[in-house]
Amino acid sequence: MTRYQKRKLINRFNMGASVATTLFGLFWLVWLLWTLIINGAGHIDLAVFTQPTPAPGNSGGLSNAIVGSLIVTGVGTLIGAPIGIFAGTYLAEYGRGHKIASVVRFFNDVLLSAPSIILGLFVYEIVVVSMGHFSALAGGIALSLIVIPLTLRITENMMRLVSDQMREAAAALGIPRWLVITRIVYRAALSGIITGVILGIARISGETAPLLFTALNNQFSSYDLFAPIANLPMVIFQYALSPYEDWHHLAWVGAFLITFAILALNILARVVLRPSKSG
Amino acid sequence: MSDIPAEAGSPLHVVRRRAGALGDRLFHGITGLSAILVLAVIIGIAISLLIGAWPALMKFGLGFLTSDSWNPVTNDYGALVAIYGTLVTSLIAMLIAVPVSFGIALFVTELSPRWLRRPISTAIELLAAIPSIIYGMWGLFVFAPFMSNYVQPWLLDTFEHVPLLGSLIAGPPIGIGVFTAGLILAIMVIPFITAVMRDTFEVVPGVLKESSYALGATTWEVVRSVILPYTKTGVVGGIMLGLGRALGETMAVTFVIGNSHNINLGLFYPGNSIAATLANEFTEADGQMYTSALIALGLVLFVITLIVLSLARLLLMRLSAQEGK
Amino acid sequence: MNSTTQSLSPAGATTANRDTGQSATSGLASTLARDEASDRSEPMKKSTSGVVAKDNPTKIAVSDLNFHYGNFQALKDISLDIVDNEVTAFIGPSGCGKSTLLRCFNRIFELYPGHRASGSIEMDGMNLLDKSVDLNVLRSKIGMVFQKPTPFPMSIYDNIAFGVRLYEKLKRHEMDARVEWSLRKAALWDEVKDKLRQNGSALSGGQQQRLCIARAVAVQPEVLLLDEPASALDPVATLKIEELVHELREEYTIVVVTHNMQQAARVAGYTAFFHLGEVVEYSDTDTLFTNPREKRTEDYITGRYG
Repeated sequence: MTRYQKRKLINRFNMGASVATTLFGLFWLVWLLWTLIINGAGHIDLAVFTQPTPAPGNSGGLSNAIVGSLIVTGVGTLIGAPIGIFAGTYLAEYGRGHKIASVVRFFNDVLLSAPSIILGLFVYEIVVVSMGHFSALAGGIALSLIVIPLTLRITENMMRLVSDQMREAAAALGIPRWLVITRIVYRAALSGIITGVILGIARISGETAPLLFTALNNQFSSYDLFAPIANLPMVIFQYALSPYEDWHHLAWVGAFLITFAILALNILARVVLRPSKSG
Repeated sequence: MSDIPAEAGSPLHVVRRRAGALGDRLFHGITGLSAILVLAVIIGIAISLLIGAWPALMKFGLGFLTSDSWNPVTNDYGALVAIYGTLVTSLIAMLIAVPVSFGIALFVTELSPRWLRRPISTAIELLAAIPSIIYGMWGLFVFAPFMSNYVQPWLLDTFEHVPLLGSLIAGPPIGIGVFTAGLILAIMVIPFITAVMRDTFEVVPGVLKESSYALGATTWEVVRSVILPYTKTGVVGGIMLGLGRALGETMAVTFVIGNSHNINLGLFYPGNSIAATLANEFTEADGQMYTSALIALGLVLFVITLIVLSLARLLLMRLSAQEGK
Repeated sequence: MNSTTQSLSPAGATTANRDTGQSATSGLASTLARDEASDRSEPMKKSTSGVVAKDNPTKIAVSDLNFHYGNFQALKDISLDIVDNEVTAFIGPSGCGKSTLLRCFNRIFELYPGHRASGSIEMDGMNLLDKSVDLNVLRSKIGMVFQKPTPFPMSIYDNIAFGVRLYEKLKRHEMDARVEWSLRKAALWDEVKDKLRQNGSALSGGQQQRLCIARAVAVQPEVLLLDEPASALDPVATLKIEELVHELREEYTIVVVTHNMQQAARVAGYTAFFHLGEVVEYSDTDTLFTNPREKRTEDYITGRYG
């Protein structure tokens, strides 16, 4: 075998391996989604959306868990997104060139990848302990700690894409800085920021670990912000590890609903972002 | 056309409405406070964990890290089992995820036809969007039985008597255990590592690649001698980022690791990780020392991930600085 | 305005032609006027660098201006006077400080930390660099147009109305009239009057730049700063911008930075040549291009620079 043939062979082998790894990655996605469809889709009926979680052996649905998840996710987003957007604005605008900005950026990256169960532990210590009990609010706060770093990062990146000349042109008209930011820079970066928020929602709507010690769970239809609240991830956790067959079915349904909702949000986020990239 | 409508020709010295000096100060303050809040959260996490872990740290001292006992009855706690499980599952995950991610990133940036790039990237990213509890449930009901019925018996039959490897794969073929947890972690971190590798591969200047192709290099040779050296800090940064993920992953591991407070060399044995221990025991822990020991575990996890993530960020920052030149 | 402006000719200081537009509209007439003026002020020009005599009064007087980017000094002891209701061009090789000086007039440099100016820039008896000057009011009186067109991400109408609303409370029809007025000033009205609600970025590059000029004019500034306004445009669009500058000169004091010497010769009544952060030579445009006093100026305009 000549040297050239050997080189070609090595190349072919490695390129083949590259294709194989890609197929390997896709294989899991397909397997997971397929499992969710065959185990979850078949058990979806009206009761899932209209009836609350049942006792073992009884019939029931997931209505309280679905509403609870929406509430906790909503609270997390409403607290986290504005803070993240404002902090991102600071880094992209006022904080430029200041040392504090790079420190914040670094710690934000740490927060972004910090284990979510640690965030739950933190909120347990400062909110749950001081309130004396688990609550939907505590769950929302724990989730907001995931939303903040995500929206911060995307907001900063998107605002940095807006050219400085745009800012100069606005400032040169005598427009005060905060109006330049809120009326012009935000508008130019809008689709990116919305994408960030959508991705944040998608990320937290399936998070379980931070809720373990904060929102906990609730078999009843309670929508009190200051009481434990039912939510899909916790219901899935509890039901999947239970010995009851019908709870398993509901857990699969919940898993199916949550996964496809999240995938839909992710695809939506991509659609929102696309026009600004091409334009 | 020089007549100006509406308040035409306002004299030079007229002081016009002062727009927004107050608004500016307010907005500056709000955004600045939000940024400071991020710092406060991280510092708050460190302090609250330290306070919560204090009783346990006082009682057990550094021995907490090296003791393998975990006994709520005698109130004797050590972190070794959980640390071991965390590190071993993450190691398994990395051994699988790094080469696979490299292959996928290579495919997406160098081999794939243009129209296929986006769909494949998106599909791999969707793998990251699936919540960890779904991985856990799938792992428990689908993947673990598959392992126990097909993969583990086959591995045992084939390699049981090979020295070293044989003792590594020892253990009951029940599907649940450290090995399965590591595999699922691998699937979960692949998208993160792939994304960073893909992004760093894309910053390699086209001219560099073209000039080596022009010398007659094969794709693999270009990858090995141009792309990899150029992007090595970024690649390592991406790997560390994935490692940070794997170390702190909770729900998926909780479902499949087996929750057993024992250390076994055999990877098929059930074990435990820091995050899984917390998830399983924290809400049921009674007694101050038990809770404190769990928070101390959390502190250990926080410190480990902090170190890994800081290293990752430093490496990635160095890459972007180099890119900026 | 005191000692540093000693050589400014006070002659004809009263003939600011803001309200006598008709008499000076024709390009020929103004050229003639300029020739006369330069003849008259011939002896004055020898005295110092950086000062010009002319029949119009001084609008902005720069004296002893220094500018630093961090540790780098970009402008060194600049003193020059900008003449009212005229076009003044700043030319010179890149990095010579011409844009930097322009960016001092409206203090736009203050957006960036580490940029600082010292000295004085007087307009209407006020030092613009004084801390007490309200930046936003200052910038509403001194408009600026940039190298690349920068339409805001909003409709054509709102691009113009946005700045106006900050300073004046106008009724709807007044605002409509203002928008039309400024678009006509920028010679853009006929092209966009049917699509005022469309996004500003849908226009062509040249149209976008004229929109930016309209936007600057709409807040009724007294001075217009143009920072290489045509350098990103094709020749046809460039020509339109130049014609526009020529017309706007009747009502505004205009300072234009350009790297294009022909452009300076076409549009400006006065030209300053910058090199390494200093004003090498400043006089009326014809003199500077036909009979430069300094060797460095001559080298630059004849292409021997570098």
